[in-house]
Amino acid sequence: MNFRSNILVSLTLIFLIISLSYAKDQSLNIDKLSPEEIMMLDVETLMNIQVTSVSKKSEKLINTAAAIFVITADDIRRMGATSIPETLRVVPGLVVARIDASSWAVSSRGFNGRFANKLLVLVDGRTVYSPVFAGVNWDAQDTMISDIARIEVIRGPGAAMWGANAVNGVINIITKRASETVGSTLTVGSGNKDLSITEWRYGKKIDPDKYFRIYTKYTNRDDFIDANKNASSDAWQTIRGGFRMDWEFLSKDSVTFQGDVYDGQGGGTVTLFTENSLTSLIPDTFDSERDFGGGNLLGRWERTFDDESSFSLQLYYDRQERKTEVLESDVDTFDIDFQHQFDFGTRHEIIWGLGYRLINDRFDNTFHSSFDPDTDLLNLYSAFIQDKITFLDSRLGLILGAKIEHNDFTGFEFQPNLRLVYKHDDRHSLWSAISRAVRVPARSNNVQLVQRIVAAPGPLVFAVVGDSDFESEELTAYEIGYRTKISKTVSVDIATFYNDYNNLRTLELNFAARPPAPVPATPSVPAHVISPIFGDNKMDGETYGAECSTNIILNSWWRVQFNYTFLRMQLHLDNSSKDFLMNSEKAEGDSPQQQFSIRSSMDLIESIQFETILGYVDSLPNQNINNYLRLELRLAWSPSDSIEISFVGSNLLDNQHPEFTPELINTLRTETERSFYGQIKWQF
Amino acid sequence: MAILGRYTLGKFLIVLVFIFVVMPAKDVAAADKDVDIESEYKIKAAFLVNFVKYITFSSAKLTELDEIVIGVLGMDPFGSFIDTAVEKITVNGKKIKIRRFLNYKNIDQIHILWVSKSNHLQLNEINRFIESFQILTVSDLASYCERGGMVGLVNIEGKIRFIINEANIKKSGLRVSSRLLRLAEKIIE
Repeated sequence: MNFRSNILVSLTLIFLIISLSYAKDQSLNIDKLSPEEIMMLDVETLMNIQVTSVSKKSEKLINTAAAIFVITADDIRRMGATSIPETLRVVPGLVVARIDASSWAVSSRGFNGRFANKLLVLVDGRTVYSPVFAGVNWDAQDTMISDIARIEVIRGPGAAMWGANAVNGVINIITKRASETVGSTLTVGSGNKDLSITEWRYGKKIDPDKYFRIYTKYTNRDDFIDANKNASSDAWQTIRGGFRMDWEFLSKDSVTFQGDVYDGQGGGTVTLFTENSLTSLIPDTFDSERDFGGGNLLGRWERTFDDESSFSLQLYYDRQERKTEVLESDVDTFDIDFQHQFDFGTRHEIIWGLGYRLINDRFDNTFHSSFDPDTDLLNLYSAFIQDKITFLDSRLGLILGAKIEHNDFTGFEFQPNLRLVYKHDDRHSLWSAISRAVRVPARSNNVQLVQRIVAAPGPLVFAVVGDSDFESEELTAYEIGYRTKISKTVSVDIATFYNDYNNLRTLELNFAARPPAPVPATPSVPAHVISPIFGDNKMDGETYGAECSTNIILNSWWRVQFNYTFLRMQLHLDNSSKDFLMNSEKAEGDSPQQQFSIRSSMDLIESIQFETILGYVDSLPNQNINNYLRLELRLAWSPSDSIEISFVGSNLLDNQHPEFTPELINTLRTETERSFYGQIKWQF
Repeated sequence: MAILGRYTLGKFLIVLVFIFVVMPAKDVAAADKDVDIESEYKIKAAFLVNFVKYITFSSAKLTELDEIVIGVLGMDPFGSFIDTAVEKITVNGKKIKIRRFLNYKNIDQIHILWVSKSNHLQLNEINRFIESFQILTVSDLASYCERGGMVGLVNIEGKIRFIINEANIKKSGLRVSSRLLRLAEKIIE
């Protein structure tokens, strides 16, 4: 730890001491009352105590036959994260690496990358996995952070329920109902890297069953620097706004209507072969600006007949626009989804559903990046059913489920799973699962991305191209997990897995199979020869690992969480594979073998919270990235019920470190710096 | 710890020391043992105990008992909180005892039964079984009163309110005070 860190520590301590002496008492807080005192309250008083309904997660979790981790609204607030990916860093089994100021690599159980394509992400039931890039554009994902109700992370396949691309995990980001966000909240923050973040929400009760809210958010984040401390051009700015309305009728029906619009800018310094390179034979290096924008509208109707039966019907429209110097794309998605849940007899809980999705895309191609055809209409049909059968007084549950989908590239895909959960008692439960999931190709089958140009004797262009014979990547996953409450205050959740992958994507350079093709000159582009590096399925692999999360409630004001992740990835090219230029096999060195984090959450006194997160991430041998430790501290002080002042320090242990090297598009690697951030949150 | 370089390990230790230096700001002995129970269920437990005050039992078996017995059926959401909480208090001059049942068939002499959410598949069987007893049933299951229950707890804008099915209560021979009825969010007759 250097001099500056010492100053930071001292300042933190001084602030702590000062705030301790200023802290003021708060009104009736039932956590402060003794159990007997609570019992002595009369009915009228009880009826007026606001309870924080933090989801019945402990009750639910012990019954779940999957590796699930829930980040609650309270966790998010305590962590002081300013973006969604930052909140995910504490989740065991996930890898979260910031590539530069505006892009991220987030994956579950390996296969990390900026275009990590095996993790499905949904926001309030709307998929944000791009069917075009096969991955999530994290720069475009955000919302009012304090209005997130919870983030549920499922590691391992979720395909039997959520469909294709939920191969290694599913992240469900769920925002609060409008009835939980009545009133105004204004948050203003500033720091050395997160230059300015402002979010404002106003929520109102229209009548006893009808609520709405609107929000707007502006963020401005500074450029990151490279290893030599030169600033890149990756600054990230966004502006967004949205609304949500919730109606509830007769405690049977609820209707939600919500939407967002956003606009933003990211970027990076790129070194790419463009049409100029055809004559110069060297790549161009330039500051690339990335503009993105979009919006969505979602409607959902849920009807609960009683606890035994309910259905939901959801419709949404989503538009995503992205524009860089090398590619411009618009994607419109329309999706309709129906789910019905009912109990059959005393043993069966059945859920089934139907879905249809229409995706319309359009590209403005350039020499470097192009899609052929440049516009397309894709259909996705799906149906799923799941039956949970319980035995032994509901202590043993057998879950059988499967999803059938039809997509325009690979036709029908069948993704079944079989899960078993045994709850020994309220303290111990054991679960196991076998599942199949696929990652479907989508528009990557029609892509062409220039990688390299050499003189041979005319310009010879090596380009990654899709291939119509490219098939889905397949996974068979075996999982075993165990959850235990060792005592009232200590709980442990362990998940282990063995994943067997087939038909993984390779990028082949095989002159015999796909010979170089001459391209005649056009007015803007001279004649050249393209040698395709084409997509194929000539790789198998296996990954195995374990994740362990331990929660310890030391006392009423201090809890600690330890998370540990171990992952081994082994990839094997087929003998016939000629993937020697893109080194797909080396991707096993793109995900850290070990990670751990220690999180301490303290309510020093009622009005002061102190959060410490220490995280370790192993080295990435394929990218020359060393292991690193991250330390985050957050101190928050609420001088009154309506105001919270907080300070966050991130990456406090070093000046800067790289976390990930971007793939496919040659972008300058930038590094995460030590950063500080202060924020005032005002609720009125 | 081979996975950490020597330098990294040093940093790690410094941080640990730092955490433990900042830590002892409060008296550890004053720890609340029941923090793992959500505040929502603390309130619900208090409702349960409070209801005893407003219900008149006529069954001789029950009135002769020198304590009030509260049963918790199925997965227990209250944990040891409720046991600690009722240890030293009396209601109508009687001590309170908590009993837990995993199977509804074991239920016998109790005054109030908390029907946990885990029982939702067996609600009809449970209702039928306890018809022969005089028991006030309380639950936070959705539409509990519409499904044969007596008192249903509901969360309205983050506050706990209750719905009373007066017809079901009368059927079992219990009497509910008008004061409690006045406070109910809704009465089903």
